[in-house]
Amino acid sequence: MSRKIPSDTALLYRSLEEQASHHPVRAIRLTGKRPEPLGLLLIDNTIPGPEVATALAGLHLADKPCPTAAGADNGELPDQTWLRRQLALEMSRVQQTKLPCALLLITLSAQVPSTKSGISALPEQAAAALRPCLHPGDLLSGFQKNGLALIMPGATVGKARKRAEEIRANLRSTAFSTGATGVSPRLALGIAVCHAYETIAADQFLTLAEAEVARAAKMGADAICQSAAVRYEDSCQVTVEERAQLWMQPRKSSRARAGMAA
Amino acid sequence: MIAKTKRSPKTICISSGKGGVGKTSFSVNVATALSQKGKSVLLIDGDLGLANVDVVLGLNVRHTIRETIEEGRELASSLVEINPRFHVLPASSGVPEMANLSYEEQALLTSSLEEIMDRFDYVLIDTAAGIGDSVLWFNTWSQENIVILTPDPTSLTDAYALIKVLNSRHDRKRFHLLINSVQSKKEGQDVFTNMRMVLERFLKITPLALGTMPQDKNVSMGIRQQKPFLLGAPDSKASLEIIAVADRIIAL
Repeated sequence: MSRKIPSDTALLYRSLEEQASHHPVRAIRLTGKRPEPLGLLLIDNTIPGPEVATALAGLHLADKPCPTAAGADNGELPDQTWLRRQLALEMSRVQQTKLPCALLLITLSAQVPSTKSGISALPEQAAAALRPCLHPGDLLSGFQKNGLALIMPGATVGKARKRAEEIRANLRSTAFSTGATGVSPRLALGIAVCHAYETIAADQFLTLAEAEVARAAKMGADAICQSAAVRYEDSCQVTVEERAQLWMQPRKSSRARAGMAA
Repeated sequence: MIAKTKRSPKTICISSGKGGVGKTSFSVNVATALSQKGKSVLLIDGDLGLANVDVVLGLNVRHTIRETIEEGRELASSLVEINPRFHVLPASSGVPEMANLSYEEQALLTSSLEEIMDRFDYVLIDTAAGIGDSVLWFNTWSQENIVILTPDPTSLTDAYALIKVLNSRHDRKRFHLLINSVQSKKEGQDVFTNMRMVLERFLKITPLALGTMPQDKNVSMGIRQQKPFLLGAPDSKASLEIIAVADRIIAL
C-alpha cells in the first residue's frame, strides 16, 4: 500500500492542530468535497457546544465539520493530555445536549521488542486501520503506550458496544507488523458511557473505562467489557410480574363497574 | 409577534409509549388553555418524521424543523403563530430520516431550540409514540415528563415500559400521569392507582396525578374539524378538564 505524502498545506493544518492541542481551544476541521480540509476553525473552549454547532450550521458547509481526530489521518496520535482535555469538553457537552457520550479504550499487546518499531508502532497502525470506522465527531487519541482511546459523542451503550464489535472485527483483519515481522496483537476493549444525569469528572470517566479495559485484558480472547452502570441498561424489558400487575386492576375495576351497573 | 424578553421557560415533554392515545389532541388543547390563561406557549411537534400537530390544527406549513436540521435555516422562521401567545414548531411528515436524528443533528436542534425558547413561558413537546432515540432524548431534555395512557392494557403496558426505560437508562424519576379516554372519574382513579402501585413496587417511583380526561365526542369532533375542542366546545367535559389540567401545569 503506497502512503500519500502530505502536502505543505496539510502539514500546516496538522501543525496548527498540534499547537492548538496545547491551548484551551477546540480545533474543528472543516471538510468539503476535496480530500484535504477546507480549513481549520479554532474556537475557545469556553464556548458551549450547542453555540459552536449553531455557528457551524451558519457556515452552510456541504459536509458536516468534525472535530479533528489527529492520528486518524496518518498523523501522530494525540496524547493522553489531549484526551483528558477533550473528555472534559465532552462532559460539558453531555450536560448541555443531554446526549450520552461513550469512551472506548483499546489496548494492543504482542510479544515484540519495546522499541519504536515494536509495540509502540501498533497503535499508529491500528489508528490507520480504524479510519474507515470513524464517524463524524469521533475523537481518536493514543492511550498509554500500547493503546487507543476513541471518544464517541452521542453514543449510547448499545451503539458503543456495536461499534466496539465492528472495530474489533476490523482490527482482527488488519495485518500488523513490527519492523519486518508480522504480528497478531491481542486486543482488549473497554467501554464507559456517561449520561447527562451523572455528573462525573473527565478523570473519573477515564478511570471507569480503564477498569473495563483491564478487565477485558484479563479475560483475554479480544474481549469487550463495559462498565457495570452500563450492563443493567439491558434490563428494561417489562417482566411477566409487572405485566400481570398492570393488567389485573383495570379488569377488576371493569368487572366491578359491570357489577354495579347490573 | 413574540416578545423577545429573556425568560426561563418550563419544558414539558408529552409522551405515551403507545400511539393513538390522544397525545397530540391533548398537547394542542392544553397549549391553547395555557395561552388563554395568559401564558406564552411553544408547542414543538416532536414526532419529527410523522408530524401531526399541524394536521390537528389545520395548518398547511411550508417550513419545518427539517429545514433547520438539513439546511441550517433559522428555527424561528419555522414558527407558526396560532394566537399571539401560542406558537407551533411544526415537523415534517413522511420523512423517515428525521425519525432518528444523529448526534450532530440533535446537538444542532438543542442549540437552535435554546435560541428561541426563552421567549416563552412554556415549551411543550409532543413526541412520537414508542421508545425511539428521539422520544427518549426529548424526555431527557425536558424538565417535566407527562405520560398519557388510557385504561387499555396495551396502553398501560407501553406507558409503563416508557417510564421504565426513562427511569433505568436516564434516571428520570418524576412523571405526571394523565389518564385519557376514561368512562368515569372512578375508572381514571383506578387506572392511576394501579399504575402507581406497579411503579412504586417495581421501580420505586411515585407518579403524580395530572388528571383524567373523559371520553367526549367533542374530542374526536375537534380532530376532524382540525380545531381545538377547547375552542369548538368550551363548555364540554373535556374542555373543563383540560382547563383544570392547565391550572395544575401552571402550579408545577
